Amino acid sequence: MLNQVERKQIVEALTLWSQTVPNEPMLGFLEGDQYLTPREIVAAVQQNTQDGQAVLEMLEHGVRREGLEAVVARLCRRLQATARW
Amino acid sequence: MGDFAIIRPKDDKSSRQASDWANDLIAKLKAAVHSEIDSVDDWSPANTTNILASLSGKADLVCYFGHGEEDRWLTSNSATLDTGNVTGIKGQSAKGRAIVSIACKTSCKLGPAAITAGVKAWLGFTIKVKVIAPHNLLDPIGDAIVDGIALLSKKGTMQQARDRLAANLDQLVTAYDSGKYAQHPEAEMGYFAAMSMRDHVVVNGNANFQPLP
Repeated sequence: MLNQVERKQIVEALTLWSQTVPNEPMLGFLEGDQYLTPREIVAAVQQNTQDGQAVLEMLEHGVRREGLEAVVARLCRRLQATARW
Repeated sequence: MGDFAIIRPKDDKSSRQASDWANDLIAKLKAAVHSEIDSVDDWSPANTTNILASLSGKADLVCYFGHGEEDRWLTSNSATLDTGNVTGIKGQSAKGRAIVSIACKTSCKLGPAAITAGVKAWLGFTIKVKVIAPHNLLDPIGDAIVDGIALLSKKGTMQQARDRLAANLDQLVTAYDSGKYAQHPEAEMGYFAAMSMRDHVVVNGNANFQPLP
């Protein structure tokens, strides 16, 4: 499970990411019953719903494999690309 | 030639997308001259009775596309097959039967329970299966899964199918990272989805079993 520091940074990065992609249905699980839009993904994580926990579980796998900084950088890469312009 | 069955509850959006994966798999298996001898879906319906009947039939390979948890398959949030009633699978031939379970986490408990109940091999996931809404009509995760399972149509073993599926998901990680899907809006979620699934696809039971001779 993500610790508090990791979770805080992931939620912040997810929030930024959600502002850089179209808010259209994107991600679902063969457990839940809907596709989440980016903003719904952020809300689900913040509210710690079942879908939110599934999103964090997925991102935690990335954190354990590649490190927190790499996951945050990936989520923020569109923002950074825009900032370069 | 072998016989296969498909179970797909189609009880909501993500499950219907998984049903589209089933359609692709059926086409590939039939192209290799295997026969679909049973189908359980929302019209059947996909309840415990019909699912147990299908699992107890003559199919060499049963493929499930739908919702699941560690210890159960679900239709409309109700358990159908679980670690309790999986012992009700009958009619195991000497050759045995394989099950492919494209559902969340069922290789944690349901798969092992099925092996104990007499199923020869089970291919599934120990993590939640992610479904990315198609972009430009493309569904790369579904394609990766179907291509992996379809290896069974060419006398592949369960282990070879698992390895192909994992390799496909690995290629997809690269495609979402810096390849042809890197600019798609779902690239970040697709990257993490493919990576987590790549690392959590397993075979329970006899990994060398060839269900479709």
